[in-house]
Amino acid sequence: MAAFEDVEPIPQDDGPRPIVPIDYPREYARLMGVFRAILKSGERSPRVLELTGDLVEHNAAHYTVWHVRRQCLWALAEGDPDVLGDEMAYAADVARENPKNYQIWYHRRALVERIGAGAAPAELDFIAAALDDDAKNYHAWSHRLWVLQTHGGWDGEPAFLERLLKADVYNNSAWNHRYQVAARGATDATAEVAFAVSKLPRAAENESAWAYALAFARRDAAARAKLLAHVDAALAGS
Amino acid sequence: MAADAPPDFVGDLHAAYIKYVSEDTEALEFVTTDYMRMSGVYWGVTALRLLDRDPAADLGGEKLIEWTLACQHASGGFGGGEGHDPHLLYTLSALQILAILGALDRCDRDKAAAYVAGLQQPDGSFFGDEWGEVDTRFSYCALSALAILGKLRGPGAASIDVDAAAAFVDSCRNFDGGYGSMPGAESHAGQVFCCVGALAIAKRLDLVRRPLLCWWLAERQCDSGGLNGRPEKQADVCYSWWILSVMAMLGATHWIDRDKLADFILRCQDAEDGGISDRPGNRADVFHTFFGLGGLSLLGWFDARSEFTGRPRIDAVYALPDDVVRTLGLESQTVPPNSASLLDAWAAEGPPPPPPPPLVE
Repeated sequence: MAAFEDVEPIPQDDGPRPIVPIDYPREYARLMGVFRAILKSGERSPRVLELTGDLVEHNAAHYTVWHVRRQCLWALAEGDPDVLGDEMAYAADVARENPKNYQIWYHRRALVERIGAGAAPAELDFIAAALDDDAKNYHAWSHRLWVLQTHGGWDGEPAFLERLLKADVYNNSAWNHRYQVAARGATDATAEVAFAVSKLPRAAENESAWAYALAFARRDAAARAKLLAHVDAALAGS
Repeated sequence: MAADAPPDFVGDLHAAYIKYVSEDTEALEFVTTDYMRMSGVYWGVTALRLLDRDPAADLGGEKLIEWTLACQHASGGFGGGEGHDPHLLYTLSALQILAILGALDRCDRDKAAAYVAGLQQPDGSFFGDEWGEVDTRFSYCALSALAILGKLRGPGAASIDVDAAAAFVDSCRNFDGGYGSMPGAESHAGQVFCCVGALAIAKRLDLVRRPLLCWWLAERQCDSGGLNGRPEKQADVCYSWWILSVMAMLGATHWIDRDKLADFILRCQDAEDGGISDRPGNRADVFHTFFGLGGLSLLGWFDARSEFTGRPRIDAVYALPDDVVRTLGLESQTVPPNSASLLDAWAAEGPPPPPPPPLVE
């Protein structure tokens, strides 16, 4: 790597009797050697930013690499407003390849925190695309909740959820998200029970729908009556 | 249709597997998990204890202790491996390792406690590290770490607000009785373990909606006998731990089919090379090996067989061998085993609490 000719790499030092000696594949070993030197020197620069990108490609779960990357980004962003926008595009690629990785989702959150409310609409679109790939991705759903709680944009959620529940009425993540939407402001508990039981005829074993209906029935007499009426009818028919 | 007998338990192969994995340093998986090696070592060490073996003898106790100590930073926190930044997750794993190896006094306990306490936020939650991610996993890690350090209560206690910690966990309780990673996040078995575990350590199980939650947990059992982590997901051996430990804490393990679960765990063993995998036929790893063994321990599977009596049991709250929990005097609140039915327990609970107020814009 020509960019780091001036840096003396620090090899892995596991001591005289290594307990867990690590024999890295060669390229990763080389990059980690440079990274260890950078950790020692404290350098944060464009070339270190690039180094972290190379390392993430080898191991997206290495959280210290992500820390250093963010430190470089924050410093560079002071002088160049495009840095964070470019990073959003980069982070989108990494998230697509590593959808279940904690670090990349936290990285996106840190970026949205830095950029501010303007990033929220595009972030909701990004999360929707991730959920198209895996409609139950836990990180994606909790990130979506965070964006909504922090920057709003709840108005689009009912339509979004209708699409997802149509695709898979058993999607527990979608049912939970519907509850979060319903819990904002006044809810019509009877209507929510009606919605849940409307999904049951085709999916009587749908745990999510039952738990959802039960939550409203437990605290509202009219909703409870509606659920009991449905259960009585189902039992009478069986 | 005659049921197939479950496969034999191949404990010796599991011990050999754990030792092999710890030494196979050129494997790609070993290399790329160096950021979480601390947790891997904890799983291996604890699994070996459940197999009634001595991890110090099997893996080299002094070397392991020195490596663990080398991962403690000046801040007091431990990283996942050498050269990795400190984090609550790996601070807990490190303390668990040191506790099992009898070497807690060799780390800087005061600094470790200060590191943990420094991560608590005004709302009672805990950051995972200086970067500020909040997750109920970290609530569990913090309370357990401080308890292990002997600094959760009493003289010398670290300055954290246990009531606030419990209140934050309670704010993550969902309409289905389960818990998520943050307020409003979907109930997930792993998060349920962290939340109920934290409440058990804080001695605030009064905040748990026990019948509703245990119903949700019991519904995790699939036709295969295994448990899943959320409705409509696949069974995975690790949920034998995350779910079963919570049911054990809440005196509710009799509300699942324990024999079917034990059979499922046994079928997840690799009968040729040892280790346990997430589901039958898949590749084993140390994570699932530990949790499968923990599940069998909690099911009383070893206790029921004379060839396995006398071995350490796993503690449901601290996920440590019970002899370590006794030695350290670790306290928790749990519901004792009982024979009440779920319906009787639910009827006895009384009227539901009022719903939470609507979220403010």
